[in-house]
Amino acid sequence: MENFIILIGGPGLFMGCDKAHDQRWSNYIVPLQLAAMKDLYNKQPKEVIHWVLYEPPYKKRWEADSIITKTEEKEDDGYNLHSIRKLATDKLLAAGGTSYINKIQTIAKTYSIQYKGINQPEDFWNYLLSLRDNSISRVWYSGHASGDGLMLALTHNSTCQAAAFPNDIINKSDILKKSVLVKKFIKNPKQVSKFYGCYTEGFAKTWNGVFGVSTAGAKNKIDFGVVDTPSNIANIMERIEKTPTSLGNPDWTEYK
Amino acid sequence: MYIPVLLRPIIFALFLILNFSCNAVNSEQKNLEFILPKSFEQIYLAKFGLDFPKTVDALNRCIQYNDKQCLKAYNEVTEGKKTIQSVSSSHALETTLNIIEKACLSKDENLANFTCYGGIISLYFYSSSEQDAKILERIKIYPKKIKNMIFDNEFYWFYNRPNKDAWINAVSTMNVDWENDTYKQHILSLFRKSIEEANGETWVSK
Repeated sequence: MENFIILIGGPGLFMGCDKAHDQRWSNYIVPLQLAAMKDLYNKQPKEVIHWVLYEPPYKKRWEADSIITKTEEKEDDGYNLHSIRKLATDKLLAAGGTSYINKIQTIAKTYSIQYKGINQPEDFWNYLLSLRDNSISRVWYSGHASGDGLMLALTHNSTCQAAAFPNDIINKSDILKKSVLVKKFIKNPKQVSKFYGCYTEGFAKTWNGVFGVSTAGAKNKIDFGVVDTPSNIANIMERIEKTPTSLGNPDWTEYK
Repeated sequence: MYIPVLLRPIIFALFLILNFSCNAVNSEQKNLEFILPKSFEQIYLAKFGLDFPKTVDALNRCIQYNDKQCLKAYNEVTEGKKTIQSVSSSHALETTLNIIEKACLSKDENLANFTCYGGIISLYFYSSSEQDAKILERIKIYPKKIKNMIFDNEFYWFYNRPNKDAWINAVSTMNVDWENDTYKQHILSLFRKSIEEANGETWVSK
C-alpha cells in the first residue's frame, strides 16, 4: 500500500471588508472533490488517498456562519454578507450535513478517501511519522500560502488585511526540522508532490531538497476560483496551475 | 534651610526645567507605547501577511498589474516601517524589548501575534553595535517561551547583526528547543549571512 497524503488548509472567517478572500468556505475542498469525482488524481492501484484536514478554521467558520444565519435574516452591513453565508449553510443542512467538517468527512467517505482531522500543524508531521517507512508516494497541499510557508488558516488585522498567525503556519524551514521523515517516502516515486497555494515554489524546492522527491509549486499567485470559470483546460487541478490570476501567470514550477 | 532671595527664582526655574523634561520623557514614553504596537501590527504583514509582496519581483508584478490587495499590504508595511524609523532610538528599542516581553506572553490573541511578532520583526531597524548588544543581552534573559518563538522563525534581522560572532556564540548555547541540529545550524547560518543575501525582501530593501 502506498499513501497519497493531501493536506487541506482552511478559510478565514467571512469578512465583508475583504472581498478577495474566502467568500466561500469551500474554496480548498471543491477542487479536491472534483478531482476525486473525475478521477483527476491519477490514482495508482496501490495508492490510498488521505485527506488531512486542518479543522480549527472550519469549526470557527461553521460557528460564525451558522450563528449568523440563525440569528440574523436581513443584510444590514452593505456587504451582501448574510445571504452568502445563509446559502452555504442552508444548502449543507438541507443535504443532511451538520457542519462543514461533517460535509468534508462525507465527501471523503463517498470517494473512499481516508479522513484525518488535525488541530495543529505539528499533527500533520506526526501523521506522516505514523505511516510505514517507504510508503508515502506523494503529498499535496490545498490552501492559503505565502513565500514563507503554508498558511493553514487565515485571520485579519484591524485594517482588514489578510494574514496568518504563526501557530497556523507550516514554515518552509520546518521541513528542515523534519528531515527524519525522509525514510517515509518512496524512493524515486513516479508521482509529483504538489503544493496548491500562492508562492509555494520555495516550499516545493525545499521539500524536494530534503525528502528527495519530485515536487511542484507556484512562483506566483494561484486562484482556486478558476474551477468555476469557463476554460479550455478540463482538468481542474491543471487549470489552477496554468490559469493567469490578477498578478499574471502562476509560473507553476517543478523540481525533479 | 535659608535660601538667599536672589537665588530663589533661579532654583524655581531649574525646578521647572527639570519637571518639564521629566514630563517630556514620560510623554515620549507614553507616545512610544501607543505608536509602536500599531506599527508592529503593520509590519507583521511583511512576514505573515497573505498579500504582501515578499520579493522585488512580486512587488514589480504588484505594481504592473495594479493589484489592490498587494499594494494595500505593501503600503501598510511601508507606513509601519517609516514610523518605526522615525522613532528609532535607544529609548524606542528599550520600549520595543519591553513590549515584546509583555505581548509574547500575553493570552490576548492579537497581542500575542500581531504585537509580539511585529515587535520581533522590528528589531531589524536596530543595528548599531550598542543596540545590537542590548538586544542580545535582553534575549538571553527572556523566558524560554519567547526564545523559542524567536528562533522558530527566520527573521531578516538575523542577517544584519553587526557583531555576528557574538550572536553565533550566544545562540548556539542558548536554551532553545531546536528539534534537530540541521535546523539549529540553519538558523546559525542566517547570522553568518549578509543582508544582501536576503533575496529581495522588499520591506527592508526599499
